[in-house]
Amino acid sequence: MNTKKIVKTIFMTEILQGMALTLKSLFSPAVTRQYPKEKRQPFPGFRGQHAFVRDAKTGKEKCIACGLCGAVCPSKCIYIYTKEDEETRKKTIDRYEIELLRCVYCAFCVEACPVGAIALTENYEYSDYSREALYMTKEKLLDNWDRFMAGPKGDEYFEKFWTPKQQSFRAHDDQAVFRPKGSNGAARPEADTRPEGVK
Amino acid sequence: MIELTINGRKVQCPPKSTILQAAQANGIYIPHLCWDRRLTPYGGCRLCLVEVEGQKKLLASCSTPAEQGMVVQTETPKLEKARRTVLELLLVHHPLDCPVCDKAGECELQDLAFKYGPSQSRFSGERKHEPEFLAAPLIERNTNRCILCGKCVRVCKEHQGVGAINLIGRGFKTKISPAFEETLDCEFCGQCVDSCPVGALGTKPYRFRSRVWFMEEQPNICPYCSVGCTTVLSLREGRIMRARGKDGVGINEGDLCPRGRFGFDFIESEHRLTTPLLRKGGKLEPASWQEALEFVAARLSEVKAKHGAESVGALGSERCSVEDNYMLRKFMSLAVGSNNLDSRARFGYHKQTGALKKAFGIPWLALDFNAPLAADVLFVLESDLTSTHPVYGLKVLAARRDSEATLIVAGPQETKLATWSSTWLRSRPATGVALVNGIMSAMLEGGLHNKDAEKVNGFPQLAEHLKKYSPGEAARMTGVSAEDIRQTAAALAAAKNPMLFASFGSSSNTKGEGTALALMDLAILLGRGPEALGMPPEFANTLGLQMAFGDEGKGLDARQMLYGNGQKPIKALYIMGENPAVTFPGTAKVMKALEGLDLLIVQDIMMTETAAMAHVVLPAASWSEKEGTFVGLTGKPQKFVKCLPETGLSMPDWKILRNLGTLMKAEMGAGNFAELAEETAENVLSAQLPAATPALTAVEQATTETTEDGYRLLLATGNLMQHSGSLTAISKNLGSAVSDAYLQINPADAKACGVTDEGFAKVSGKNGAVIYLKAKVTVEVPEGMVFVPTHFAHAGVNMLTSPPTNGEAPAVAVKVEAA
Amino acid sequence: MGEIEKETPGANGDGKNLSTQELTLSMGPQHPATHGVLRLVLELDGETVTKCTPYVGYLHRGVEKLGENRTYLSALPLSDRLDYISSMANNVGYVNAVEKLFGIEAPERAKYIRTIMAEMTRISSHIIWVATHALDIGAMTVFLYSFREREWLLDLFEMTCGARLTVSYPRIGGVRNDVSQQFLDSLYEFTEEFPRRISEYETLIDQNRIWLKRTKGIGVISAKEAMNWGLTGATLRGSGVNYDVRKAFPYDAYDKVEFDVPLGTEGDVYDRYRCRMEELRQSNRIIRQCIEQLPKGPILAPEASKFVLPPKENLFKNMEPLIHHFVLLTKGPLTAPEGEIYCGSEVPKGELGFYIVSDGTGKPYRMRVRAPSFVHASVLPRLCEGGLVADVIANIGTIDIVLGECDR
Repeated sequence: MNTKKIVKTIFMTEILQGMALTLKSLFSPAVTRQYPKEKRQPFPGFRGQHAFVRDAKTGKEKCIACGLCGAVCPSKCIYIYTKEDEETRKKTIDRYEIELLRCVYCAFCVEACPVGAIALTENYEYSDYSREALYMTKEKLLDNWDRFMAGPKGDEYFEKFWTPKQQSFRAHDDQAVFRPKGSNGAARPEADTRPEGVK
Repeated sequence: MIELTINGRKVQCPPKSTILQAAQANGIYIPHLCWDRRLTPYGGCRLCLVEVEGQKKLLASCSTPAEQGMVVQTETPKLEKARRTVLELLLVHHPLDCPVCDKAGECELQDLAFKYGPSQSRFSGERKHEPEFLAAPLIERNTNRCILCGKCVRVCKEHQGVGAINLIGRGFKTKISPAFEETLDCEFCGQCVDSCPVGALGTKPYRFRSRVWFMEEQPNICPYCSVGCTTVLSLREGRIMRARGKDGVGINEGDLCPRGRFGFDFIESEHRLTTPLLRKGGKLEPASWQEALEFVAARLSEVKAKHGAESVGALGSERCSVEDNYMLRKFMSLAVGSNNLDSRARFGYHKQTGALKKAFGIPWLALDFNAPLAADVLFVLESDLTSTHPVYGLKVLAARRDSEATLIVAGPQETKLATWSSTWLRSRPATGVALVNGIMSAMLEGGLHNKDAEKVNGFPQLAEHLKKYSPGEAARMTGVSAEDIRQTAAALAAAKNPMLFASFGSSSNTKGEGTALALMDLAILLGRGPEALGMPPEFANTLGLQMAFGDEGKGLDARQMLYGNGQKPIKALYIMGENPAVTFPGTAKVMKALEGLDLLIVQDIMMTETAAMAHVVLPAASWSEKEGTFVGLTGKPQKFVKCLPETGLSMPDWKILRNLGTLMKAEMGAGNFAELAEETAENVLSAQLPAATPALTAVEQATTETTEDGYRLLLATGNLMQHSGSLTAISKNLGSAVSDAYLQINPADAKACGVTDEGFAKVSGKNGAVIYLKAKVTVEVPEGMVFVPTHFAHAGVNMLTSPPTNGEAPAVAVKVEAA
Repeated sequence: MGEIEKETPGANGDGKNLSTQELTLSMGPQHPATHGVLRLVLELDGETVTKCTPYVGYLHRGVEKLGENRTYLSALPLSDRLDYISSMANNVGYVNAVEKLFGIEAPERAKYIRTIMAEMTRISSHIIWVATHALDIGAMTVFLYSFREREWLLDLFEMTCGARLTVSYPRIGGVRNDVSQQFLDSLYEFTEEFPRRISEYETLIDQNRIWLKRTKGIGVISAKEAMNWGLTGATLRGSGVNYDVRKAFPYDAYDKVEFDVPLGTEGDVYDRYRCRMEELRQSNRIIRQCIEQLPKGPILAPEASKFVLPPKENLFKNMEPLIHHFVLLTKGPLTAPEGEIYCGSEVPKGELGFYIVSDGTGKPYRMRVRAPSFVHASVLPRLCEGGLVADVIANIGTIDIVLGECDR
């Protein structure tokens, strides 16, 4: 015991062990990513900048101006102004604005929307130099939809992340459960299943 | 007191209560939809069901009287099930409308369905899909959302005494509707909208403007009449979205009239002044405050130096706060040194204060708002209380309805009170004094008067005087039968608690100080004091202005300043929040006086006809853009709050006056509003009403203008329920209900004059003035009389009228022809 | 002292009676080692700290008051922003408190998922702690290594709920959405890998002589004192007190898994470090068990329809779901029972408690957050006074505070 301690003290074994580890790591592939040269694709359902859903049928926004997104918003950053359409006498949106600087990206607005008219896109590169640039108007939000979510991607988004769904309230076959390595049937693949980012 | 047990708790309630009332009085909540505190029980929604021991069936607590020893359960599984089913059934046909319905978020049905309803429906029924439409201004209807609780129908009929809507159709097609689905013809008080528990009734101005959860509520004191209702404003980002009454809030306890509910939008009118204006080269040009105030100070000093301080006059405003008017008085005495201070109240409220001083020796009346409810005989003289003071008028109506008091209405017009009266004495216009004298004469004749009155000063003179007004004579003068006069006298004399009502507005020209005095004499003969009088001041702060201006008789009054019967004409006039060019009677004379001024300063919230003539116009912040105090009919000060930003560069009136006074080197004090409010409270609002000392005065019936040479119709002017002056005239909401002046004329007269309904009529007065008005042929006015509201500037009704002198009721004779 | 002050400073001939003066040092609020905006006013007699006064509140946002003005649902993201390193655990603590108040229970599967998430949070929080703690004391490599593992966990959070840091994932009565098979597989892979990584960190510092010198015998606090100061979590257990909310008042799936509560003996910085390292292994163990046991089933309580948003498919089928959706979002659950509850949960920093008073409306009448960081910050003077100024850094690190939570 004592000899061991003396050896350790003299030869600094614990320090050498540590240095061996770092030396070893020197030859393993780098885990860091060279952003912004290398960009990372976020997972589906990432809560990035907002988009206003453009209805493929009408080409207009899907929103029915119920204002629930504004009601649930914890930071009260959604401003909706409505009016009566003079011709149809229907409720229409006058202005729909989101103050991104106050938004906390909780996606409660998506959950609150009864018709699925607002989505959070995978766009996370929205920093800018002015406050105005981070004040989203209806047009900018619709534009975001076209840029980031149009097509099947949007449908998939609402399929998966517009919750709760009926199946949230019951057990169903597609639910993920533990599958041991090498078990028969739906075996867990041997390959590295780490998310794309960490390889 | 009745004792009963609710949910195992022994509770007490007054006799004649229902179980629901007993529970509410003891803080036990029973869900309900169709019940309303103000209305008779209906028992329609079946949500307030309770279990009563010994009763097999569930009872509707809203319509079951509480009985001694009753044992009531309000929350049992059986009741829960019953309520759940009721709510489930209510929602079967309800459209899936929450996202667009303006009521969502404050909907009683929503809340109750959440609290007591199931979370899934077992039924799938047809949803209603009637088009959303109602031919009416201001009121919006969606029959699909209606749950047929009938609250609106009952509020309209029972509480408002109108009955403009009812349930029509049967079964699935039942809906709330005006008669025959025609245009809604009502007062537009909007009480039905407030009472609607769902989104079936709404207001057009608010439609789709905002969701309730984006708005803050701010109760404020209504700026219109002197009742001083609390109108609950819904604010969003510095704008008023709507105004509502809230059950139990304020003196009005949730009742509102069209003005209080819809009249707030004058604040956003395009006529609002945003910057000071100076007359440069004959035109009013925008100027800075510095420039404008320096101009005013310099010119005022100039006029003072040239003609003396007494050549400067000022008009205060019955719509400005006590503080503003106090500041005007202070400005006039300290900075100018003149006592020439008056207001429009000279032509309205002063009729009654003058009489009060003579009859009771008191400067003003402090009314008990709920006194009418306790009265057993109510006598209303030539006044349309439900139009001039709608919520006070409701009390009179309630007395008639709830306690079945005798309501005697005297007057030519078929007002709402007249239609609900027990006796309607349809007198000729402007004959109030004769009628009251006749009643008093009948009382003395029969010895019905209170014997104490004989000791009152002036009794012998009055008794002597009344001989001229025997019931027969009075009948000849008024057109009311002598028998009716005698019966009225008997009814009043027999009453335990009689009350006499009249409203004296500056725009009404059929009553003068004499009328007020005659009514007060009657009160004294009945052995009553000022408490028997129901005479509300005209505007929100008429009484406050009276208090702030204090003693009279020191300087010139409005009559002397503007109508040329002053000893020395004034040279400069400072007008705060008043529009004499339109609202003062006898416009021609007023205009001449204004044109002759060396300096006219107008301080107002909007560009008025008077402001257009001014040398300098100062923009003032309006109600809700400043804080202040109103003194209404109860005589108690009520604070109103600032909840909006000022329009443009406008400033509160008191601040403008303080700045100007300071510029003129006067010690104005009032560093901030709190200081001013304190000073005002001390100097003005602390005034105590002295004890009344009755005195009787004989009053002669004034002679009205003769109706000869083709000028055979008497023109009466007055207020409408929807309009009371310049503010309401720029309110778009109220304008959509009543947009223009009109001439009410009896069918017989119309025929004789060749005027048709909705056709234009040419009205000319003896003074040579001619105006054109749309005619409304109606039996509401009797033959020989026409009625015109005065509030619309372009109609120029006041060109025909003349200012009242004491004791005189200047109803004018006019000639009406087809235009 | 008085006499000394009379002497002229500097040379007085014989070099005796040289004057000394206490130095007041303001450390923070902008200091890299204070882990946020903590300010310590230190009075130093040479190298020795004679007095230490923590000043907190620079990050006060009024979370409690904000919570009282939001519905129970809308207040959830506020708990993310308490201890933003471990937002998932805060969320779980909050929803557990609200569920206890409402008298509802999340379904089994949701409970397992929450437990997994909370333990992932513990790992990511603890490795960030060991990273920064080591960095403060002078060992930089651990910092870089631990961020590698943290990234894996954050990616997994992102995969499930779309956010990496402020997750807002649990819901009253369950969780927002189900976990995917890829998530479970990857996380299981992580649990296989992670013990090796812990050993790596330990290789770097566990026996390192500098590390030992800087941590052993520093900031000692006895078990009794630690309890009296109200310490919780690993900060308490380092002194040998066996108190863990997960064991004492089990919530979610903690009563269905096996794990040990590591305890220290000396109550110094080193023991607290050991406790946290051991907790990493225990958390790893809990996650493995949860994944293995994870049952199929609902993730939102179907019977709690007055508190959980109705399924989107039903909204426009009939009125009831639409009304429930509207009322829950605009007014909150109006059926919330009146009453008050306290519910604590074991978050990485210690015991995070929510005390909620309900007046039967959709918003809490009072929401009080018992923040472990706040309590721990208060013990700093006790740990620092009498010690050396260099050890202040070690002491700040060892109590593991996050100022977002401390200041609320």
